[in-house]
Amino acid sequence: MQELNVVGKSVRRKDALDKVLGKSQYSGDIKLPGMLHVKVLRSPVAHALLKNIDCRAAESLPGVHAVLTAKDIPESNTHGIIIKDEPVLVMDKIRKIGDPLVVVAAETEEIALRALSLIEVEFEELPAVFDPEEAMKPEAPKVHDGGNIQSIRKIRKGDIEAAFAHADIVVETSYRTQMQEHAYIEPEAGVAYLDGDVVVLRVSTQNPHFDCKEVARNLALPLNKVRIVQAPTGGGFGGKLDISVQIYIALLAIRAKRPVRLVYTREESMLASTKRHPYVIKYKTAADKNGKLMAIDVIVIGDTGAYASYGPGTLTRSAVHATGPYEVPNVRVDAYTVYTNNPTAGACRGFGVPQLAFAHEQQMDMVAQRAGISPIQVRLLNALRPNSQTGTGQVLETGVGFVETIEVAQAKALEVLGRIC
Amino acid sequence: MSKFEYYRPKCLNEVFKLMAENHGYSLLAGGTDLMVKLKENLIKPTAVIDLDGLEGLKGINLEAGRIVLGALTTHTRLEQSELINRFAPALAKAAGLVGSPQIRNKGTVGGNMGNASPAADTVPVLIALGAEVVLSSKEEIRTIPLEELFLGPGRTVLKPGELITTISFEVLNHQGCSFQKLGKRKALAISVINASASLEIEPETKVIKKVRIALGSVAATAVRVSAGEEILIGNYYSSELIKKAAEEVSKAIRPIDDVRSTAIYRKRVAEVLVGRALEEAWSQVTCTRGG
Amino acid sequence: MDVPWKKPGAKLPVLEGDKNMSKQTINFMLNSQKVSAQVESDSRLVDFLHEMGLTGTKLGCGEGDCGACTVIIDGQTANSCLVLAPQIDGKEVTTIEGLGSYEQLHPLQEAFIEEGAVQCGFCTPGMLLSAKALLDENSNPKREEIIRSISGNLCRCTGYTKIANAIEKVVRSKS
Ligand SMILES: Cc1cc2nc3c(=O)[nH]c(=O)nc-3n(C[C@H](O)[C@H](O)[C@H](O)COP(=O)(O)OP(=O)(O)OC[C@H]3O[C@@H](n4cnc5c(N)ncnc54)[C@H](O)[C@@H]3O)c2cc1C
Ligand code: FES
Ligand code: FES
Repeated sequence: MQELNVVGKSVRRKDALDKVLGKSQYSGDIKLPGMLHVKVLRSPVAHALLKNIDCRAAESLPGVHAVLTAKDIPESNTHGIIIKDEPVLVMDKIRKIGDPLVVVAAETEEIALRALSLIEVEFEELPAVFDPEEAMKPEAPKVHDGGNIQSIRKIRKGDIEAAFAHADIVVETSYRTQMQEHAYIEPEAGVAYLDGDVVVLRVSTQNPHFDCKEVARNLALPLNKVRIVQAPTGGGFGGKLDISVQIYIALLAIRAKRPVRLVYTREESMLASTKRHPYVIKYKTAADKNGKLMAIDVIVIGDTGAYASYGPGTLTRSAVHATGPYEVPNVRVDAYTVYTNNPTAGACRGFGVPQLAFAHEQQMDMVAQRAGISPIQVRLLNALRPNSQTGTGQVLETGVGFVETIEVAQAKALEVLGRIC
Repeated sequence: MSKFEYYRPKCLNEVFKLMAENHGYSLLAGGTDLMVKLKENLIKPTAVIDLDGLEGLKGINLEAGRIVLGALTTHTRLEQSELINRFAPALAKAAGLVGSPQIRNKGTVGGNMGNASPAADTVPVLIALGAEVVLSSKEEIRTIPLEELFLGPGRTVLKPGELITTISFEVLNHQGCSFQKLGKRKALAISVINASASLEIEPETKVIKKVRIALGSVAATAVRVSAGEEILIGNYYSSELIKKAAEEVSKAIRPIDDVRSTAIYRKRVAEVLVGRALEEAWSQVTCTRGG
Repeated sequence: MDVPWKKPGAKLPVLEGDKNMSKQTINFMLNSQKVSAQVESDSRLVDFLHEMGLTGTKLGCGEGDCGACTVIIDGQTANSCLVLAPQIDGKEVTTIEGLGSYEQLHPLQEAFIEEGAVQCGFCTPGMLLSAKALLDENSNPKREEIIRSISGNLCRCTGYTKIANAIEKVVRSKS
């Protein structure tokens, strides 16, 4: 093959030099003349009606430049990557612990924190729901007006009933996976300043174009008046796709007419950011006596927390991947995205696939056990190969490397362990 | 963080004076516990008295058959000390399992006691070694068994104006000691449970003469569990005996559910850890002292 | 710093601790240079370094757990989020800014770049200082010792294999 300059070569990262020298300016490192510091007042309760916010004492604290609530958002007051269901600042209803209520810009972080402590918040707590299966019941507290089932993604292929009726082996199990924090090592941060009539943001983000649209929409600005620059970003793993500090700092830079900076503490990062969706998976597999898969019947319930974020996308991916890397002739999957008063769940490495892998791989081992064959045999027997058809009817013509991967893994196991499994 | 004055006195008398003058003082050794508490606003001292200037409290010495540790000795120093590795390797092991290199470089044995966490890693070993602590104030110097220092999580018998100056234990022949820790990870993990045991044998007969079994994170303070000790005393070492003692310890303890684990898990795993701790202690007697 | 929670009715102390505490003068060595500075008694070393314009030291947790804020004090690594600025009076501090320069990289910095041990880079300054402290004390560490030396530094992107490889590369090239 022809030798190429970059492809097939180890290349030096362009930004590695600055990074090893400690010269990279992450957004929290940026200092601007006259810069103010921002803090966010967040809800200590998971579900409540917001009655009143009294900011007068905070506003009159020396060194405080702006104290803003939902009323100060010029437009919309919503954001969300798929559905705009999350307020920038809560207007009337709190849906999770950590929901943002007030933002403050002050001369120092300390003054901003003191200002937060002077804000009086009145709310009326509502019964909350923290379990997605509970949330699906009609009598459950409603997180959003439209009900707690945000969406359902269905896949139907072949004849499930017939397959289960004729199966020799049926394996049925419930699985639960946990919520997970991305824990990127750099907590969310950003600075904003005005350059003429353009508000410029340098932020820790994975999604600058989306950020630009959300900032512009909420601030009632045309897109060309908002400029988002992705600062070197200390990890994201899907957790920095959603809005974090962006709208607050843009708003405050404009209102206070000063550059502003907001850096989350680790605690605030954990409280406010999205998580990996915790799942409930009810998985039923049918196979013949040799271990050949005949059907799967799967219910997936994804707890997306207080706001949808990437929930519907994640659950769609889970539905599509419910068969795993196996050819299954008859498929039924119902994947629910469900609201609760838990932390919002969004994109997280693997996007709904790891949760399902946990379930279908257990199922495969149990099918193997029942058929009296090895875990590798059951996988080779059912593997997707070139020209296999997936659960959604797609014919995979090329690029199907599952069998080869197993073979290489087998060879490696033999080499390292002296046996296959 | 609240506002406070910072002092770094050079001698104990100055420390006593500062403690008398500043009622809301906190002592600062390595700061690895104190700084976290300050950050979380769990304490609001008016003065922070840094003990780092007390060079005399940083050493490890062998004095009249006792190992004497200055309260300001760091975990790194303990782990690397020749004296400790020779006479109390279990303590070197425990110190080496605290937090991370950074934490061990700063964190001190006195701070580990002063913080009075039931999960402190050097405490069970020092209890098993029969350690005594010296508490000094302007008025008096008193020596108490280490177990008696603790009243509950974060609470000690230290009076205002008093500090821990040294910790010491007797070096015995025919004794073995051990340390076992279970954390959620290998580094930077506070113990879900930890255990230490010391065994002293009659050199001629090999009968077990004296036993101390101490556990952390199973009660409000580190505890000695005599139920397990009694089974061993006066008997020959055997794996059945060890098993029985470990079972008794597991039955006797009353752990709780908390952020790090559950009571039931702790009870079950205590049996395993105590079993291992006793085996390890025995291997130390036989290997190092040729018994 | 924590965001104080506010429950309705609960009165939080106002302007508490606003007494004007005296600043202290500290003298210390920073990256081989003498420094004399005024610090507030309650400021953390990591914040003080940032105020001095040295932003290479990172803040990831503020509680000693992540190691992003690692610096070397008197030859030993420490979490600068757990050290008060006045504590460094009379001491010698090395931060990432003292490790190398564009003109002359430290061999560890070179190796980190070569081995792909840097991704987001937020853990990198702390990792490098932990590695430097190890090599200063032991020029020929075993793989286990290398791994142990960075056990107080979390990396969420790269993982530890390439970082350990980079450190090992420097060890091998020296011996
Ligand atoms: C990330 C992290 C990981 C950790 N991991 C572990 C672990 O694995 N195992 C473990 O046991 N601990 C662990 N700790 C806790 C801590 O490091 C240890 O308890 C350490 O020994 C405390 O010592 P210090 O010198 O830092 O104490 P400091 O923080 O300086 O002091 C702790 C307390 O003791 C008091 N004190 C200090 N010295 C004296 C004295 N001479 N007389 C009287 N009172 C005194 C102080 O006033 C304070 O209340 C960890 C801490 C952190 C931040
Ligand atoms: S910021 Fe200091 S250890 Fe994480
Ligand atoms: S490179 Fe991102 S945390 Fe290490």
